[in-house]
Amino acid sequence: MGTGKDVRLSKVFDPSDGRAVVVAADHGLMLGPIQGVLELEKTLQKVVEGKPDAILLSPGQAEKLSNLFKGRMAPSLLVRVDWTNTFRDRTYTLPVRETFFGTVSSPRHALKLGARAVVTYLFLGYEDEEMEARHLSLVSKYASECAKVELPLIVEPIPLGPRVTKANNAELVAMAARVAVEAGADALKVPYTGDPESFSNVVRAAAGVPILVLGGYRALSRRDLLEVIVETMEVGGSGVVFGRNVVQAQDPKKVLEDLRAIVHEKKSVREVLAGGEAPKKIKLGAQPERCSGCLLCTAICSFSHEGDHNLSAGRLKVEGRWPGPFKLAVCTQCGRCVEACPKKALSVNPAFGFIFWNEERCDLCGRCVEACPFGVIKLQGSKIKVCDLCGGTPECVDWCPRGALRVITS
Amino acid sequence: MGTGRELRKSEFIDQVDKRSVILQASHGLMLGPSEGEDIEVLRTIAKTGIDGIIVTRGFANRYSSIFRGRNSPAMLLSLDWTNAFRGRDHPLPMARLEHMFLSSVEEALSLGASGVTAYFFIGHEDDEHEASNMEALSTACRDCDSLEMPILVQVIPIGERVTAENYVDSLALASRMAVEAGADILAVPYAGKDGHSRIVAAAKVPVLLLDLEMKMSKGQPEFNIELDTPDAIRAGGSGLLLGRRYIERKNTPYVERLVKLVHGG
Repeated sequence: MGTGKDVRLSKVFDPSDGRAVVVAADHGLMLGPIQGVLELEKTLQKVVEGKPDAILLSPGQAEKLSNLFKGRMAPSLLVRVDWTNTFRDRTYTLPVRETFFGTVSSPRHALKLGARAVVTYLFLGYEDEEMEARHLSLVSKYASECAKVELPLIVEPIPLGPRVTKANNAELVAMAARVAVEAGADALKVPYTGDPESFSNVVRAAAGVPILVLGGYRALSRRDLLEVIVETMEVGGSGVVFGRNVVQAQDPKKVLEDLRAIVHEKKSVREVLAGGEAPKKIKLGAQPERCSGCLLCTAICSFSHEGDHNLSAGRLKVEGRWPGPFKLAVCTQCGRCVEACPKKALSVNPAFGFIFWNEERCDLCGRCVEACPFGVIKLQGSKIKVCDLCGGTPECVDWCPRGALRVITS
Repeated sequence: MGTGRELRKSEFIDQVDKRSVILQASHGLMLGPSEGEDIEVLRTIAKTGIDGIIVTRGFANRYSSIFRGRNSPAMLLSLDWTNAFRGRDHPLPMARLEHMFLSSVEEALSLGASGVTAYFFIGHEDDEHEASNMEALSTACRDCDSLEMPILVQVIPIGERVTAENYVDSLALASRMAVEAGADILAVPYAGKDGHSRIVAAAKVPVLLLDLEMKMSKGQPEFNIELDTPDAIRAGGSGLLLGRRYIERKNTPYVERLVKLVHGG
């Protein structure tokens, strides 16, 4: 890599950790004035406050909104040089019938706009193989012009079309990534492949070229959204590109602060979700009328504490049969177990209010289990299992699909 | 029209106070190595909050790591060469002024530079030199227009024809000529508080103070960087362009003080 590319890319990927948090806000070019990009300037003013490393825009918006990129510490401007109709699915006006792509800018033009890198798609999986050849040839053309003007090229390799299946998707992402690297990509933004193992294959395929994971993956909760990023970084990913998850968020600044905490400050998901604020005393609240009896809460409780899905190991209880009604029992921190313990092995955590079990003091007499009016403290093996509120961010609340569990702040 | 020029300029002119402190580290091309010169010193100076560092292309390629990351100073590429700064103590002291352009704006862009810089001398013994300086500067400025690259012009009155009486007038003349040719930012020697405010008023672009290490003409006023800089800023000046003595003296805290002097805090 030449000096120019190296210097420019270092303003996107922080040299201190080699990672980046990028916001994509180029949707208007392909999808029209969707929510969040309709008032793009207002949205991006909030985005900039969250200090992303870079923002991806269409060439037209890059020129209009250049003020947002002024100053050495401002985010880097990335410009999209291509266009496609392929993301206009059935929920949009004039849905796509056949995938096409085209050029809307060039590396030279982007450089004049002050861009620090350009971004292009590379689709693999076309029914008509000539289209794949043409797409690769367009990406190669961008790559050679980028090499001439020393502007980094970020390629977005995406498997797409009827030949892509659930079974071959991860393999195709890895393949498309490698094709992009061989064609001259200096960085990649790739869709999540669903699990760390297949993502590590993509990282290996990229042969050292930094990889950002796209934020468009299916996430069941805020925790899930962030945990995917941690997973990708653990296998060599270099950060994220978030689009709608940021520009359509109520509070884009907060979302970006969470992302920065995960990507750059190496905070755990748990720490980020706890908000970094002074801990507050919390309780679990149950609304049994909402419960569908799916037992996801007990499964995730056992999974997050013991690593398996033992429904009887949960620190909360769901009773009843479909279609209900169901009875939900959660620890209320009433403290009877603490009082009942002759060895003072149980105590109330002063910060969050959860019950803390001191393994060394405990002689497993079981009086606490007897004392619990709800039956949610258990003696299994040589362990007392009592609700620890997951350190302040209860997983059962995150995972309940019906909102039957919630956190009550006192 | 592109927006690159404004964005690149914003990398070395602070967006809040519109001021700047730039360090010139390109003297090696004109003067050879200097005593005490040390890349590690430059690395520490780069962390003082200085806005930009002027380098040559050879330097840019070898020490680009100084410019990596958004919290590093901006890279400015020096386009030209001159023997004007070879004083009597130099092994090859200047006998006749020579000045030429060596690097292109295109090259600066491909190195990832945020700006370019060139000299504009006034007071030449040979009038043709003034003409060729103007022509070369204009060519660079045209390239800057088409490639969206900001250009900082260092305006220096030089030679026997410049006296104490005509110093401010000469500097005002040359400054305005450089701006009309296309300069985005000027760096000029201090011409006293009133003189400096005249230059600023005529320039209409940000004007930095040039900390010249030698007397380039008989008329050049004395300059006390700590006393005169605040005066120059009050007169509308936009900051400082520091020479190589700051690298030679390895005095990073002093540079830090000057950065504070300009930007406050």
